[in-house]
Amino acid sequence: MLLLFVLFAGVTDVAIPFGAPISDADWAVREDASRQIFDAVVLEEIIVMNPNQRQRYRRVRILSESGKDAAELVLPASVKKIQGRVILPNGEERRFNKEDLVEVLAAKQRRRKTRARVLVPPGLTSDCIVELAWTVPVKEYGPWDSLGADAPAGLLFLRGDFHVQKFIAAIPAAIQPFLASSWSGQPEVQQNTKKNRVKLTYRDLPPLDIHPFDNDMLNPDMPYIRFTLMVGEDHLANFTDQWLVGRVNVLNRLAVSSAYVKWVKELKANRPADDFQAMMYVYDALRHRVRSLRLLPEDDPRPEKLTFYTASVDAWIKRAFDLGVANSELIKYLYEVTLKRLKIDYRQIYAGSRFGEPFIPKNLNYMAVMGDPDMFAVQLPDGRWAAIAPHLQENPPGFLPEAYQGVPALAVNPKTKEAEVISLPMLSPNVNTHVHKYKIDVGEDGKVAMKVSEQRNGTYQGSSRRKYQSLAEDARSEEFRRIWERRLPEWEITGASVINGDNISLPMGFQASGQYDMEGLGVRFSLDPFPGALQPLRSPDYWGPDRKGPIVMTGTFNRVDLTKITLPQGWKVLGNPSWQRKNPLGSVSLRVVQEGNLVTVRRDVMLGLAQLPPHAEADLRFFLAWMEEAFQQTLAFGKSS
Amino acid sequence: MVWLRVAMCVSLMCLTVMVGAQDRYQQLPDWAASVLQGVDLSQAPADASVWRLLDETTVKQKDDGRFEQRRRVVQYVTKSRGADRAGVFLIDGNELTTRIKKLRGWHLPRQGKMKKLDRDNVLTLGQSSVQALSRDTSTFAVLQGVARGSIVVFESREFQQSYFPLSYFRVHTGFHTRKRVVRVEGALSLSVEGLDGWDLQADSTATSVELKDIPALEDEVLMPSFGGVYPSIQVRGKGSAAAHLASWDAMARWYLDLFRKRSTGSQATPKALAESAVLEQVTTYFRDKITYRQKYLTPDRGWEPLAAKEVEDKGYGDCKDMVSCLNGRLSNNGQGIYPVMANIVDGPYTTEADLPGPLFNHLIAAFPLEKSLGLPCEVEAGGKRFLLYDPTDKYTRPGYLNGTYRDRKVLICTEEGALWVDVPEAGLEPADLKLNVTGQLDQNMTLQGQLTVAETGDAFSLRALTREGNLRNVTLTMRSLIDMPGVADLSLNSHEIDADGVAHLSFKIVWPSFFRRDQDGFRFPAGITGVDKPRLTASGKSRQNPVSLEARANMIWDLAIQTAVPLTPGSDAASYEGAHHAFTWKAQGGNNLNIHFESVRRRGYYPRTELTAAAGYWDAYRTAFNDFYHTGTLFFAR
Repeated sequence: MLLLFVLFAGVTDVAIPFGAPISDADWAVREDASRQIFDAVVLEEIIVMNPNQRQRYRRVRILSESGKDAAELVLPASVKKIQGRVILPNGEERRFNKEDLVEVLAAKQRRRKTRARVLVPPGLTSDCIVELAWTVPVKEYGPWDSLGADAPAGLLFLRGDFHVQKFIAAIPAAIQPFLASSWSGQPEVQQNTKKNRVKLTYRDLPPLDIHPFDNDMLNPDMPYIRFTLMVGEDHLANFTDQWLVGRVNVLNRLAVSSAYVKWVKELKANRPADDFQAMMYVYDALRHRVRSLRLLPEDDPRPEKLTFYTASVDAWIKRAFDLGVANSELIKYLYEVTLKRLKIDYRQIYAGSRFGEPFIPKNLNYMAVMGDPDMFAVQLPDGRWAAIAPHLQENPPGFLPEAYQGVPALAVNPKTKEAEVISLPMLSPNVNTHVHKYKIDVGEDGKVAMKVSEQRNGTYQGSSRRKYQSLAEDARSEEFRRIWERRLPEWEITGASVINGDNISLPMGFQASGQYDMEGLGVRFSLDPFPGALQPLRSPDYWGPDRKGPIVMTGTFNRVDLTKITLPQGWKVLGNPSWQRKNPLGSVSLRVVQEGNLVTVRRDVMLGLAQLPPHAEADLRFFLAWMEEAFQQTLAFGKSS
Repeated sequence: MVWLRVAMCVSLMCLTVMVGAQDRYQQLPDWAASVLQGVDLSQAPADASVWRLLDETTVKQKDDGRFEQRRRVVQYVTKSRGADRAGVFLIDGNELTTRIKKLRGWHLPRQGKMKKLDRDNVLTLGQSSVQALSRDTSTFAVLQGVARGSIVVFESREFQQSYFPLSYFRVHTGFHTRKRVVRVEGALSLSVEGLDGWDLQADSTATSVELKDIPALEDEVLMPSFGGVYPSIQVRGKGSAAAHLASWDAMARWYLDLFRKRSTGSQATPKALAESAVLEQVTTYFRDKITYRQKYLTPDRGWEPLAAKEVEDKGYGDCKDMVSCLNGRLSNNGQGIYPVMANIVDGPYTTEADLPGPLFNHLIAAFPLEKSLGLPCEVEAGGKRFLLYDPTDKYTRPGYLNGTYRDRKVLICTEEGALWVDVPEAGLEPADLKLNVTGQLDQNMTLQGQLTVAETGDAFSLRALTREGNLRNVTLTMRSLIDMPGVADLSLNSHEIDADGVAHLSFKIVWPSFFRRDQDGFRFPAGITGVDKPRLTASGKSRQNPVSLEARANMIWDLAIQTAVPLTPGSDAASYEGAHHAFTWKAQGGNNLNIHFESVRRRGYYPRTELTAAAGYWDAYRTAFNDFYHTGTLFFAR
């Protein structure tokens, strides 16, 4: 720490220009749709990182009533040296006073109070320039120090609600900025070796728009700076040395209980010969023996006995096994040590999430994958890798969490500590199959009776377990009934039950029934063939123009809804409601067949790709339009002539 | 004797079970245990997720005027979904004026030992935002591990200093409540308001009000979005501020005096407004120079305005600050305004029939007039003439108020006392939205074309957003107005506000599945006509809440669309005219569709006492609309 301090001690080479005369060029800035300048422009934003403080500066041109929001500022109470002024086009200037920065309570717990300071700029108009400068002291210095209110630790996104004309970040050279590797633009970089400082200048950053299914960290239109302490030239060696040694040591010295030894002995006796089968076998056995805290019954007293952070890790693991409950970290330890004892040739898998920071092998940005391994994997005879996340016990065996599907990962051999880059598979849409089977009876008097059963596989099975596992059996059914009552407020829900709720090895199933009174059929009536069945995917309300980043869908899926409608004698389906559509992303179809008074309807919605290039947006929007159409389509029935 | 031994054993077992339960209750404070001992928990109402057995509030006024409030709550969690809410106890307060002296909690799980509230689980959050700065706080006490079968007990004692010595308690607590008690000690008065039609009996004495078996209110369609419609218990104290609430006249005189002292210091009666040009000037001034912002850092700021000069100097303020600023600007030449207490948006529909109290959420101005200036929002009261004016409303044409004042009364504070006036319908800026769609519909029912919009009177805030320069929100507002699916593209081509204040907007439109397959045809977009109307109550339930029908500016649609496939409308013409709703539909089919649709929504409010009338009205409208919608807005490819 001392060394770092010596390195950083030195004055900044970036001057904060607060109070300088406003140039004509600043006043000349106007709204300009071609440059995406609306409401306000950040003329200049500066961040200077010092060992014990951040210096900040912002100069904003306000161009409309809405643009006044650009002068909003909420700061931690520790903020120092705040200065501000409003300058009007006629040169009139209004400096801010202490009273314009109001200190308010953010939160209080026991006697600990967290306060914030809110700027209420006086004299603000819809045509002015606001200049602000402030300093935030930082106690610790490192990549984990958050730089912006919303930014994860060590991450600085450079685009916001308003156009930024110039953004300067001055960073000590010992902090290694990973500049957005996916960003299509490039900052100007100046290195001041004497002062160990790098100055990055970005120009003309347009405001953010809404792009559904986005991941900012994959967006070539989103510049960001990722800070990390430099750890040497050979990142991979550092990674394996620093992050693995501790873990391997814990595994090696693990003092397990006799109960565990006995349990492993039983497992060994029944171990499938194939490593992949054995890995799944251990997964299922462990989730029966040691339950994740997230899936425990709501009034289970055991979590309190799993006293956290008081014992050493190995004592803690022992206690978890004996109690039969564990958090994710402990489950991963228990799983790994069991794989080891069953002599399964496994790898630890470190991966970046598809929805967060990507792991980019060529950069070896290990910040994206540091920490515990996310999964464990074995190599299949055909060379592919099969991975399992043992702590996500709600998932069926063999299910790869969607965050990790199709991403590069580091596979580390704990025996040799050698790491290699592998690619995790993208699972087929059929893994995430969700089926509704309806039986509907329509009476002559217009009374409708419905029964539905659901099969949920893959991610749908996992999310169902997460939602229902911790509830008592009757509470599960009660909750499921409430869901159907909300979906169909005009129906009377006559039954609702959740099946196999207690047995985690069996698929959790769902059944509901209800009735509805149409108060007569008239000469024609209409009916939703799948009442209460919700779309597999919410169609976003808004899509911004000019998407540049990839489309990151949660996952692929295959949705199948089937219904058998029994009509009163003499009624038939009107028109020809069957149709289908297909494009490179997926397909949607509705098929209606009538035989006698029985009408069979099948609705299929299949999304086959989960990671799409930006130009696939048009196809995706058509796919979603078809999906919405199919889910809103009702059938009409008339009397046979 | 065997039977006797068996009987004794059974009796002893029963006794053990009962004593077991009673013993368990002994872990709780005595007052809570005594509540539970008288209750058979298996008799919890079937529809309750939490059964609140006792909700008791005792209020006492201290010599310094502060209210001391003690609360006791005992509840039983009957369903898992109630657990999270049941485990949280909330005290709304203020950093400067609330002192929490005691806050305790007990959790008795279905099995296991009783646990007390951990002080680490008491969290106070400030309620400030950038737009509304205040010292308001919410204090949460959270009991962990609450689950079905848990018994949850909270007890609190706090001191509150309010601007007026007055507290309101809602009768409905959010949970099915077995016993709700509000008790006062000392010289406080107590009354229950708004019980009519609620099927609740209040057992009232001079010092307490007790109500039993109060159901939890569920969300329903067409619920009121404004205050003052649910029963409440009022507690009134003593003190100088209480005198201001002795009558509406007293309140009006007090406020006028206070307002003038704070605004300019002058109590002089203002000269009448002689010419309407002043309105344009002040509106331009407020639009350009003053930003709306609430800054309530001391308790009096909820009522007391800043000095006019201070508002001018800072360039921001809330409604009363802006009215003060207006008064100050006019005072230079002897003019001025009267403050007017009002309600907008979610405020109650307060009238002179209500007990005087702080029942307003807005302050506007009344210009005194000697004679009519021919402006629409002029009113007469007490033999005097005024023009109502809202300086916070930057985009309504001067001389008018906007539609949020519809059917409301306002209170003009004059030297003589309160003048209650109806906001005249003619004083509301006329507002409607005309929408024209032209374009082509391909084989796949994708529409490509143009949407042109003319908005009169800021009917849907499009004019205000355009003037503010918030063009992205113009597009988003337009999309939500017509419930345009996200998959459709809408891009703003041009925008203009003409001399009459009409906003003209033009959009390019690309709308996949504009007509959607439905039944034996294609469904016209439901965002234009509205979807079929739901029933007032869920199946098998009776209506709980009053019925509120919101007014909306008229929308008039004209569509001229060329289609690749000739389409025949399900209905050539349809119309309906009811007290609160009307619509007209005309459609011509073929390859050149011409469709006209107009819809009207007028305000209606049916309190609990008029639910039968509400159901009668709604059923008639619902039947008429749904009959039209189901087949009338279907188009057939024949």
